[in-house]
Amino acid sequence: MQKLDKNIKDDIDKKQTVKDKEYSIWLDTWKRMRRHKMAMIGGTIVLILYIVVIFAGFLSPYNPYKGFKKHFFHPPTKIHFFDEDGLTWPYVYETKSVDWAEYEVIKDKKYPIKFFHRGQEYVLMGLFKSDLHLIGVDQPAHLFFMGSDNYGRDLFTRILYGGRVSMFIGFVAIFITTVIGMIVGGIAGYYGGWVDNLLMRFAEVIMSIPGFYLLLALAAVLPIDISSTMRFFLIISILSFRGWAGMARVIRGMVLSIRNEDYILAAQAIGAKDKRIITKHVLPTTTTYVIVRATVSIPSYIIMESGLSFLGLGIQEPNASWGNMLSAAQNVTKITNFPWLLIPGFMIFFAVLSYNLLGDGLRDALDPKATEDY
Amino acid sequence: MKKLTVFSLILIFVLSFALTSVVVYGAGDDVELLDPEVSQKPQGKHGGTLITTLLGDPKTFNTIIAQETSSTDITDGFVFEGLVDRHGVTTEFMPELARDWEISEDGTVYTFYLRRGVQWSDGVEFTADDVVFTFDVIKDEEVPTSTRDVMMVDGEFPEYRKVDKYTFEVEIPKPFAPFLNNMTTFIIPKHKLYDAWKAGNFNNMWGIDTDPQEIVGTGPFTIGEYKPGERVVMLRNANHWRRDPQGRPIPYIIRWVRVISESQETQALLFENGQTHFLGVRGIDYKRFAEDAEKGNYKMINAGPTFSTNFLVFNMNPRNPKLEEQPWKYEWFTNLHFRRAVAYSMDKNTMIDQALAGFGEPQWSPVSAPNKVYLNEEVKKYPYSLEDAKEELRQGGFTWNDQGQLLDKDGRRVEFNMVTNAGNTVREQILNIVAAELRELGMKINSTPIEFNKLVNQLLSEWDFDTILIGLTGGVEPHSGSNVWPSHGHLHMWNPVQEEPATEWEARIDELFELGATATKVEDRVKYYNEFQEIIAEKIPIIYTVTPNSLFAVRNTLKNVEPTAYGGVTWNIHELYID
Repeated sequence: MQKLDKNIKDDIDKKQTVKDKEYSIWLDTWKRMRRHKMAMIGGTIVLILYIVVIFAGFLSPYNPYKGFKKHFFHPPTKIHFFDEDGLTWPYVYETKSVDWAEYEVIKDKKYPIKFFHRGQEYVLMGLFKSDLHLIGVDQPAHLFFMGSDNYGRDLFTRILYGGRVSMFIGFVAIFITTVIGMIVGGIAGYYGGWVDNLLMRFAEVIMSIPGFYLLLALAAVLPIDISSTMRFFLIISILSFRGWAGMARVIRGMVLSIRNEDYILAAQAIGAKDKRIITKHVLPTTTTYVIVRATVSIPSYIIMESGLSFLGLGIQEPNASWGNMLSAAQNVTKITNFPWLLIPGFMIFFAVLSYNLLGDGLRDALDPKATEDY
Repeated sequence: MKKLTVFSLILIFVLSFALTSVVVYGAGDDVELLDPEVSQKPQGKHGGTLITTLLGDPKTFNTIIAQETSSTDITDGFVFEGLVDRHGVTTEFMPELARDWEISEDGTVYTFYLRRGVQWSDGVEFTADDVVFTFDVIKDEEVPTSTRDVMMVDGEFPEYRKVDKYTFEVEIPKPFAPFLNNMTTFIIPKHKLYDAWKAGNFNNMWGIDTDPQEIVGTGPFTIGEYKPGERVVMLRNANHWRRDPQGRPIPYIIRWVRVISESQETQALLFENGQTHFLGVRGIDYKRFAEDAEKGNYKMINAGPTFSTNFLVFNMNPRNPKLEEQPWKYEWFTNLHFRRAVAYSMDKNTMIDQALAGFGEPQWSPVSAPNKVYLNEEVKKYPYSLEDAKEELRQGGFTWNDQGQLLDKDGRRVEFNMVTNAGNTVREQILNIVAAELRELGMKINSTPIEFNKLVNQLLSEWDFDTILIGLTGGVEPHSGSNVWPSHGHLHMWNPVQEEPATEWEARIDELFELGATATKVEDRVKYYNEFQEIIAEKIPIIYTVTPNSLFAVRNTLKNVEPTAYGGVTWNIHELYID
């Protein structure tokens, strides 16, 4: 008898999949998404940022830790496209320090910009070693696209490397919050009663832990001999172990509202196990919410990282992150005299804005009630 | 009946109030100040609030046990005073609580004639009993004070006695040239602290949670209010013994608000916004401040190299609790070649350029640059050279693997922590520059700024650090370093409070400090302190980096100021006034 049941159900599942091929919710979403101009722009920028930071080693002219001692606070190198004879291959001039943080251009010799330049060694995606840089210039000239910082390190290079932390750290946090949030929320909503009560009260307890003080305590407790990236990773993970509660509450609410829907009752009537019902029928309805929430909260982690670095809890020198690069510019003299030090701030701004636009678009595109548009 | 009770209660209340006020008045008013000091500066205007900034919270108001400048900056010279003091410009001795002093022919007996009629800020008279009490406390082995080390002459604490109410005598076993310097030690009130000291509770007295009213001094100011992390408000001590040229009590300034802001950046902004009266300017800001001086109504002063130092100290303490897990660190740090390699990798020119914006000097010797009398310029120097550093490491038994990582003789990767106090951007930058160079040598350095008080704990009580980049306030008298350099010193940072000197050269330094102190002729003293400087430069337990210049921006409304690298702006706080 039981076996027969199962066969029937499998049959239903198969039919379902056949139907899915004709009409895919993802294709539908993509079509709606494409009409959303701003979201597409945001999404493109986000995508470019990811590609750029992943290939930072190749795209950047220097090593992020390499300091040119005599060229600190160097303004962005001027790239010349014209010489006496008109348009020419882009070139730069050598500069020499004359006074404190003041540089003189020596126009004796032109240094052409070279593509696929052999420079300092780096490791690409943690796999291969290479010394091939997309762009570079021979010594003694320097190629500082965005100027150099107070140790004479190339700001452009550091922005690319620093973006890795800023852009990826959110994923870890989102992953942890989502997994715990969905499991707890799903169980609480589906079973209801005392299970629900217990889990939700527990979530409230977790939510009431004050985040900022937890951070300060963590900063004091974590040993200083682990690398700052590792430490920051730990801080973020611990924070997300606290952050799942909000997620769990919303998921629980959604689950509660669909628990008595016909298809769930049908699944129960057929005799599906609870685990199967929760994972296959209940939680998928929350996908929309989870995706949107993730896109919207990644920028908040980017901002949090910059805030923490600002407080000295985040990534520490000499490692780069947009946050700590910005906090190194935390001096009125630097901001007025060396304004290029603020570029990391613009990067944070662009990344956060693009992510928010993308999230906005995704929310509209995934909204089931928006179908009349289509 | 009810009315009567109420009435009698009121009566009792009023009476008791009247009685107590009689008692309070009785305490001070019959004390007549016979020996005031009259200010030589132009007459100023009374009144006004001075607003300045502090870099950190005090840990205690008890100046005897305070070991960090964030505490002594509040009290020393402002709340508490010594018998003598050094002039802020000439650095010569000048009378403070003692109006005069005599040194016997053989140089062993010092007699101090105290100012008569000086009152503590609560009105009680200051007498020789207070001085005796202060010495009692310093002598007490139960009190953790670095002053005791400094006071020791020939391993003995000097004998001291009250001759009469206004005369105090100290007798030292043998001539001790820098002894007068020790008499700048801050005097504390017997009537407030004697009972606590007798009860063995002195070390807990006058912590930062004490009611400020309880903290009584002779100095120009008293503590009015302390809000942790916010501000310390100092109030004029109306009973102070200094007088303006017209014979009225000074300080001129009634209220002195000292805003605590751990960031020098905030301090600079506060000054720029016109909220504070003066600012110690960092090199990087000098040009910008100089440009706006006229608009902001202030003047810029470059007072030359400071006495303060920035150095790297390695933990060579065998009692380091972390050695159980990592005994090899002790081996590295005590390896002279290792320390020399680090010394060779100090790129001081880059430090001056990048961290001090060009306003600084390299330092090689433990005696600060402005101390021309004792500075030995011939000490061993370690000019920046990574090649020399590598050579030293090779000689020290270190090798490199094929990734360029530095390994010790057991093949262990050289990795250690290096910390400095957060909020001091100059030190943070020096730290980064040093760490970058050491990484070039193949070491793995975990460098991070940490909170100052946490750092002080690691350095002074927990002894569990690896390397600290920190500074000391230097002084004119080389013997003021006797809590640092001799092996028994509390601030002998690399291996404090040793019972027996751990190495021969430390033993020699102990000796030299004794010799330098007992010699009466300056030439002899110079000889001893020269040798001491040579040893330190040779063995480099402490690796000096660079010394910043002392730069100030002082508001033009603040008058009678004479800023120096030695005394800063506030050395004559009692004479400053606001116009």
